[in-house]
Amino acid sequence: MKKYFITILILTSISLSAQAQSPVSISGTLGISYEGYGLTVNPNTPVFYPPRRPWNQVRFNIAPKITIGGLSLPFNFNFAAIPTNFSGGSGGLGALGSQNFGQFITNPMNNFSLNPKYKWAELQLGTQYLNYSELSTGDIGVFGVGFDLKPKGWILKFFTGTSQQGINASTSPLVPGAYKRSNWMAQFGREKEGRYKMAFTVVKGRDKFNSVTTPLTVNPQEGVVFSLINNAYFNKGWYLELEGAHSIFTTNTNSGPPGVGGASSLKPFITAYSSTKKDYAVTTAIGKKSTNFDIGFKMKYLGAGFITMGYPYQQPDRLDLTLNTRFNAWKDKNKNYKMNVIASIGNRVNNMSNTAGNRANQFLGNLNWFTQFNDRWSLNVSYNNFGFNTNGISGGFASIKNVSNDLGLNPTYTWSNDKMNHMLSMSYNYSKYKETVTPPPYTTPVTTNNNTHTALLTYVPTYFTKKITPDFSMLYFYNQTPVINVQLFTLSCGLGVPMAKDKINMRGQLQYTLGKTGSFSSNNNLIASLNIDYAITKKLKWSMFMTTNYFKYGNELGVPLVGANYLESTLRTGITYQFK
Amino acid sequence: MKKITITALSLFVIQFLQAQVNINLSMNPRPVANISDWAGRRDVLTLIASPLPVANYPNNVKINTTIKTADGANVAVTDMQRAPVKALVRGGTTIFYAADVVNMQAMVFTASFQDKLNRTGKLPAGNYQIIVRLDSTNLPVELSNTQTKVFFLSATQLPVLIMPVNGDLLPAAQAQTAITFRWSSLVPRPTEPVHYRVQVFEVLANQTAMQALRSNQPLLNQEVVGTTQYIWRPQLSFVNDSINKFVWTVQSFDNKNAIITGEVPNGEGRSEPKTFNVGNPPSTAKGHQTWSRECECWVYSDPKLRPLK
Repeated sequence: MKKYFITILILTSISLSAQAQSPVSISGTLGISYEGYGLTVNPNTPVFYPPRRPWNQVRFNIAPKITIGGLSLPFNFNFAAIPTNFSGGSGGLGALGSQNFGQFITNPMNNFSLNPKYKWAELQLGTQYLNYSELSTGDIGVFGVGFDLKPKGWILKFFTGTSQQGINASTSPLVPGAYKRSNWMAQFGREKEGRYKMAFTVVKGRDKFNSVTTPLTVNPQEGVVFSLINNAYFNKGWYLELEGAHSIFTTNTNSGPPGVGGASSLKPFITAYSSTKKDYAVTTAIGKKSTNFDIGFKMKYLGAGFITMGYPYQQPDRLDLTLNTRFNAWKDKNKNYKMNVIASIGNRVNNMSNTAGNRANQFLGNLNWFTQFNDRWSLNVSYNNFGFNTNGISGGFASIKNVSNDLGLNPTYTWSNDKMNHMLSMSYNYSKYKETVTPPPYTTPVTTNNNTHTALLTYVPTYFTKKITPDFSMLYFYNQTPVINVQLFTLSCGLGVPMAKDKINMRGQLQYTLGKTGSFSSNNNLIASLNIDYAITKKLKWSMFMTTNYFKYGNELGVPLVGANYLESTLRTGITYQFK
Repeated sequence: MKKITITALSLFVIQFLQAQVNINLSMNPRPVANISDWAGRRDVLTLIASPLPVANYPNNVKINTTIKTADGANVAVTDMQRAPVKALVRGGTTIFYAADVVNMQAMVFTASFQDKLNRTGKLPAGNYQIIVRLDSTNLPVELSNTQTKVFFLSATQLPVLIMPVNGDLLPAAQAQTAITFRWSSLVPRPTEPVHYRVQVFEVLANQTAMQALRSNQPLLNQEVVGTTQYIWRPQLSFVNDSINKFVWTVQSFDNKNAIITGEVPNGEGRSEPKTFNVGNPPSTAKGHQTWSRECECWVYSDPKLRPLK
């Protein structure tokens, strides 16, 4: 693996030095960082606290942007030395500890991209996370080649490449494996900034079955999505955005040809199999945006069979309706607004197709209301309501109803004298969660209440003549359930100290938490951390972050782990060169 | 009633006497919902064909399958012209699986079910019956007894992540002590407790949330059995002034530790991930700001103020 890094670094250096002789300008950054992790557990067995970071990791960030006249060459070589993949197609590579060159290049933890751009033409080389639209593609990185052209209001985009390499399955370490997946995407349309956008998009992905030599537990898949976007933007901030999409997706390309009346092929885009399904999705948004007032309504429908490889975790078979608003009100003497409010209400229906038991309705309401009453007082109120209901008792399944209410109040008082400013912030949150499950024969509902109180007090003094910035906080957390109660009490203090004519900024924090779970004896947690940012020169910066976490259990883990403890340390340090 | 019983018994005896093969069908009462997935699985159904003591024991047969709703409406029948010929083991038992019995290339679905199948890959949730027998390869002659089993079909709705609300900002002083995660239950709710795995990934600089999910080691990978809430004590320090971003998800397992994949075809059983942020408001903006979950950024009451990052 080392040779890959060295090759890349040498190539980049050659490229930079070659460009440096020309009348060119370079912006962007170059950086390298190291992260070290240490964990000492006592006792060693049985395992009660596994490591949660890689022991060592080195990350490279080579992102210079070279500009030659109207031509810009932004590099983005962002990669790590050790694979730590846990989920997704590359999941388990971290456990295997090694990867071949193709897997390294397409690993989602690494980016190697170069996007030369001249006026309206952009060439896309290497890893690209392209967001064509909400229903086609936006979440996956593809390593390949393509372009993005926008001549005179036209849109012409194309990209093709590989989003993942074949990875053989393994039982020890557990690696689910993945097929090599090839993707291509294209978009054609017209756009006038701030007036309209019309675009037709095609996104295709296909797994290569013979790209692995061991059988996988997942099936090779293939899918294509066609989407049409129509967005219009009117005077006074009104807008209408509409996208309709059709997907044809095969969940197993080894499932044989379709049966009588089964899904038909759409060549040359896709060949149908017996596991092929075709479905639709629609998203629409209508509303108004302005400096002090936004309102919008959004609808998103995803059919049960609507699947796109561009959003691999998207949950289909649902209808989302959301109404949101934001506004400012109540001007002060300087004509600044004292109050701003963000609110939304929404409803989501799962299982629109009636293929998954009962339909589930979800309600979601959010409010965040901030008011600056005067120079001294401000208040933030937040409220979240969530409801989940499986609507009924059919199918022989338990009926489920959840209601979650969270209210937060956060007043802040600020005062000052001729030497310093004081800020006292109080925060109280009450969270009420009620779950009601009614199993067949639907006569005896079982209700579980789960309530949490959190109170936080923070004091931040700011000196007018000193540069140190201390802060102090105290927190009480109480969670009450029918089974067990959890109480946490935290004291924390921090101190920021600038040094060497403000070239060094140092900030430390100490935090102690006393925890108590039910009738078990108390546990103790101490966290110490230090962050240093050092501007070595105007362009060269060094940063370091260290934290140590000591945790000692009471008797909640039982014998033989009474009093078990661990010491966990993390060190992150890096150096960054800013070209401009 | 007596006449009906005698007639039914007589028909059964006649059929049994005519039969040359005895079949026994065992059916998973709750098979996977995607019908096309049946072909690749051995846990959906097993059909065992055993020879009866007859001289003309057939070498080859065709499997005649009918699927009906619980109230008897036809869902699908085998088109015997298309049904593949299956060889029987001479003098021994022959075992068939779902790929043979519910052969998607030979099944003809009634229009409404075919439409649903083409769109979703599934049939509407509910009770069904499967009726199976063996026929001769050329003439419509029944060669075996008929077996009927009842099964229930339902896809699974993976949990939806509730709290922290997607894109929310949690105050650093609060979040470094405890963060409460809540999600909705798996639907339909199995009778056995569901094993959920709450997973939290740190989104590093230069990463998208999805990149972090697909490339990082999780900071939290905690199993929770039966309940849909977990209080995490992160034991992390948020000493720096920047916003720390995280992405979280819940993975669902049954009581045999098998992944419940739900309807998302990545096979990971992970609910649609959501993000949350930990940090404090920028002090220089004098409080004239509110966190927007939509852009995951600060919005300002005074438009002259700009995000400080």
